[in-house]
Amino acid sequence: VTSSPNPLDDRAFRENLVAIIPSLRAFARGLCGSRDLADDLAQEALAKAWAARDSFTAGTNFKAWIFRILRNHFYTTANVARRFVLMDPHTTVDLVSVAPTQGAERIRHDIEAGLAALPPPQREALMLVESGLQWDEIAAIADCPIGTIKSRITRGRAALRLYLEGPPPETPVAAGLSQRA
Amino acid sequence: VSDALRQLWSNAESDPVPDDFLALLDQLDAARANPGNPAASRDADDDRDA
Repeated sequence: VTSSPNPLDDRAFRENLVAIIPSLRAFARGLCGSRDLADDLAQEALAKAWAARDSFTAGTNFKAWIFRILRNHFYTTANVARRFVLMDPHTTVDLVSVAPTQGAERIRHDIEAGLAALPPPQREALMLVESGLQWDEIAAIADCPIGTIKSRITRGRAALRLYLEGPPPETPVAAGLSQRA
Repeated sequence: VSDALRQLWSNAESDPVPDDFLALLDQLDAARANPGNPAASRDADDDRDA
């Protein structure tokens, strides 16, 4: 942690924290699936950000800064303490406990369940790109090159599409080959 | 897929923020304002450990 040459005063920093809470909760929910665990994660990120406020440089992107804190805390905790278990579509009770039958709620349910089935880096990239951050900021948060982020997004969207729509129907030729095999 | 993801993010962001988020910030403020106050510090620590 380095000292900022121009830190925000505490009041301005707190205003930033309050304003970022909805986005922080959305990112946390995308990362760990369970709403309760996501709120725990978001609160811990808030406390960590407050403790590290002197390292934030005024004029830089506050959202990118605190998202990185949350993301790093998520992976550290998930890998070390196994507290925020990396999402698994079969264990993410909040997301798949009740399957709605139609409409927007059904789409939301399906997309959440599809997200849960993705590897965490793809899930993270898909959520970050919806957050309004720039490519370079997303890459900095995920600690990888921009090309890697774009690749994760492409593969993640393709996997989600496959999850939502199912595999393409067999062509007659492929079906025939399959029957002969 | 992109529209569904955008909607998912938008819905999550528009969820009402629980009161305990702002309470946490109040406790962190109190701990900072009164660093010698064990109660304020303990509250903040409890929230971090929660």
